[in-house]
Amino acid sequence: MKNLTRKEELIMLSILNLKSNAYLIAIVDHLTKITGKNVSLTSVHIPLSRLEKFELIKSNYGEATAVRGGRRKKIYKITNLGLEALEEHKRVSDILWEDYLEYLLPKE
Amino acid sequence: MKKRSFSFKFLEFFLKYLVPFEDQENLAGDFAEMADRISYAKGKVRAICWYVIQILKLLPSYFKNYTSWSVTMVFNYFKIALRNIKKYATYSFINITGLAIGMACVILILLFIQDELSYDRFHENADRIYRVVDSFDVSGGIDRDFALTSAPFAPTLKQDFPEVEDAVRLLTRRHMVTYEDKKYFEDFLFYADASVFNIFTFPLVAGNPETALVEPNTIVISESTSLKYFGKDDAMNKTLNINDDDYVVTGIMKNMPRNSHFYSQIFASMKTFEKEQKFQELYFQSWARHEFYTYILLHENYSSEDLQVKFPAFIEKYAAQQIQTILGGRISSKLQPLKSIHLHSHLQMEISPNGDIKYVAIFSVIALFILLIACVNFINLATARSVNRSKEVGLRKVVGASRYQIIQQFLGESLFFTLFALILALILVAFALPFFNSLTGKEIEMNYLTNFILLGSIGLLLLFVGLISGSYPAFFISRYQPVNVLKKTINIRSGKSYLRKGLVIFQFTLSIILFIATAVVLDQLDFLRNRKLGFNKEHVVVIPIRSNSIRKNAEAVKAELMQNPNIISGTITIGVPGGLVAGDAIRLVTDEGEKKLTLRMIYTDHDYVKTMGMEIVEGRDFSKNMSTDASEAFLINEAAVREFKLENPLETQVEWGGSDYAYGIEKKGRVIGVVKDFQFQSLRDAINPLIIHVWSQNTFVFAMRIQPDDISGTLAFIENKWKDLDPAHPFEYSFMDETFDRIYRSEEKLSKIFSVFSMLAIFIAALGLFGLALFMVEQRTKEIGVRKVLGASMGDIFVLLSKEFVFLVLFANLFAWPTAYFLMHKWLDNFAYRVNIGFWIFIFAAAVAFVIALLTISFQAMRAALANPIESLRYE
Repeated sequence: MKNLTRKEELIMLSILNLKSNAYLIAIVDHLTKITGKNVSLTSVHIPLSRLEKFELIKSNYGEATAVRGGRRKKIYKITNLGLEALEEHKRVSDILWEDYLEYLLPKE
Repeated sequence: MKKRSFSFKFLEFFLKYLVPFEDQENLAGDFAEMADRISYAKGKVRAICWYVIQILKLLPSYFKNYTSWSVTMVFNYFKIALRNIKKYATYSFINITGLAIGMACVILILLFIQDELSYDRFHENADRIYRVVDSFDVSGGIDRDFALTSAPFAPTLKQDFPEVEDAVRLLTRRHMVTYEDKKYFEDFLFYADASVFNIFTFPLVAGNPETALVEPNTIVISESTSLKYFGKDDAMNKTLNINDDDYVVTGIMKNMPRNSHFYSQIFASMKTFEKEQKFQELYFQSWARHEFYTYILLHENYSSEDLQVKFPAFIEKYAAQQIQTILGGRISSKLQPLKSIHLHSHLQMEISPNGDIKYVAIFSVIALFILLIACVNFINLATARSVNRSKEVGLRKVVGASRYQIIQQFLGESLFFTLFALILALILVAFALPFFNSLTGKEIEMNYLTNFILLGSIGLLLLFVGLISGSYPAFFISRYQPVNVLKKTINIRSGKSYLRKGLVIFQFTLSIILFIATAVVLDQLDFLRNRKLGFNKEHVVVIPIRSNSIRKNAEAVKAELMQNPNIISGTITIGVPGGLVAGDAIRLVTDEGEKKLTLRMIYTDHDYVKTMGMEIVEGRDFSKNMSTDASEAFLINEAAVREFKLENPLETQVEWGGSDYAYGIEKKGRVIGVVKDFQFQSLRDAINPLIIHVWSQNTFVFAMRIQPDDISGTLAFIENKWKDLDPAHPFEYSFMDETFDRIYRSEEKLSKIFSVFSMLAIFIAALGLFGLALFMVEQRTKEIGVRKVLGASMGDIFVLLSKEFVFLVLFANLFAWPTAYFLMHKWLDNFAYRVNIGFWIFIFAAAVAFVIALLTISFQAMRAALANPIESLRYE
């Protein structure tokens, strides 16, 4: 099982958030919005193709829109393998985050 | 829908090439969306910049992808090509041999052309050096254009025209040169003005070029001449004896390169001549006596045309008067650029025979023919074999090869073949070069590493042949639809056989043209050799007269030699036919009046006509019994009678001025006989008017007709006698027929070259045909088997297989005949006497092509016809 990087995690979760509109620029916009930082096309495109290569996500073509010069979008979806990877990632993260919650709670 | 601006469309165009196909659409869409957004927020210029940056960012990954795949594919192509060469060894052999021979021919011709074009280029000032040549306009049949001028030209031109930086005269002489006990007869001796080293680039290894030839009786010799006379000693300031006169060596020059239109071993100072009173009058003050080669060096900023325009006035001022009185006509002068002399100048009295741009052209055409024939072989065999390769191509396409890649593969393969052939060709050239040199009479050497032009042209040749011969198969094969090929639903063989047939016809057309040309050249040569010459050239011994004492006592010498009964008759003359002939001015006085003419002249003694076996058609020959014959009798030839319209030739009075009209009439008399026309010059030219008279001062050879039996005994006798008479010079002799045949040397060369190259062309074409026949038989193995089973006889099968090709070859004749006729007709126009192109030549060429084609095919056809049908049918 592949370990996800922070970037990959962010991208995969964005795909889940965006549902049926998860294409490159939407993901970039989404991440820019939540992080409040500039996210470049390249920094998303490269992890995307990596994820696709490891079959954690898959893609198919959506509809053509005028703003894109009549070209179709490449819409990404999480595969079962991808879900497993996310779950594993979450499990590990959750364990690691546990102490943080304790630290935050007021001590009795 | 918003209209997209042109700049974005242009940028998107790059994406197509940089991005793998499957990513193209969405990436272009993403970029467009982004760009739109940027353009909305920050302006269009920023958007374009952003787009360009994105494309630049894509480049590294593109290159990485591209090279890694290309390298892999090239290795694959290479492997497949090698496998194919091995698997189809016969075809590969045919292709490579044909190409190698074709390319070897081209390389040889390239070397030849390069050598021809390199003549006289080694002079630093080559662009500014011009030769002054004269053209005569005098009544009479003398040839008009001479490479010579008279002596005053050079100094007067230099003095009158500021354009002329310097001028030099050359006078060629053949003299005996002695140093102590060493004696050689020097053919390459020139008298030259001191300025010769200023104009031409002949570097001196010793001595000062400025002053070397200023003083009389000084000479500059070449390094090899120095070695010949002085061995390893320093030659400077030593004395050489030339023609009984002493000369001091004041300079040693590097040996002259061979690619010069004149070749000199020794330059002697012109002053030696000039200082003598008798030569002053005879040569140096006479505008009429044309004996000198004049070269001028033009100042950098002047053009030769501008100078040439001033020549008529110049001649009018100095020369016209004298030439009118002496030669009875006018002259005009021209300037010849030094660099064009070797290939374009064919004047009378050239220093040495020049090359000819026509031969350069003919050779190039032949080489191109052969190369094309070899290329056609390649194309034919490659397309024929495409059936075998179609599966490969289909499979490659199925796994994703683009058409472009297939083209690349096949072009690469043909380049690989060509490279292979080129290496073979270079080896062939190395072996063929000595043979080629003897054929063309050159001394070409191969220096691959230093000869950049050659290297460059070999590279071009490689590309040209590789692409020409590879392009058709590549484009043709790459067109296959994989589905059709793999399902075997198309019949590839039927498709393109028209082209193949056309190319076979083309090949054989070229071969037949070369064959006919060879036959015509040989025929013409034969015709020239056997033409009635008007004299008997057999069994005449010619001895050059070198000593003045022999010249003075000619009659006594003759009497001495005539003691031998085997010597039938002898004559002392200026030259035998095919050798030297003078030209001089005379005055004819007929009933109609006086005519001043310049015509060809032979000085001789009483026995010339008899010794040469010529015929007198009117009047009589010279006779010793007539005491006046020596002083007032002339013979003319029939051409003169015709040309000058002499109705009663025997009543024509003749006046001749001797060496110079200006000093009075030397000889006055009448025509006593008319000699039948005989060929005294090259057979390219018609027979010119000629006058013969007895005069002993300008005689250079002694010619004797001898009995055909015991020639060696007679020669030994002559040699003994001659050595007694002229002990100072080595005995030399030649036979007149050999000398005379030398006139045809250039035709002979041409005929040899034609023979060799047309043989090669036919060989390569036959090789191609052999390959095609082999292929065809292979393709039709099953058909032949079935036919045999059904009862076809061996003859039937043979006819079936050979008829198509034989028909093609015969068809090629239709194209070859008119072309060859036209070309050869043009060539024959060069000759005054020419053979008719006989119809038999064409029939013969057709027959030879037919037989060769049949023989080539029959080997394969016989094999197929003889094969047991079981063998051919069982293979499935």
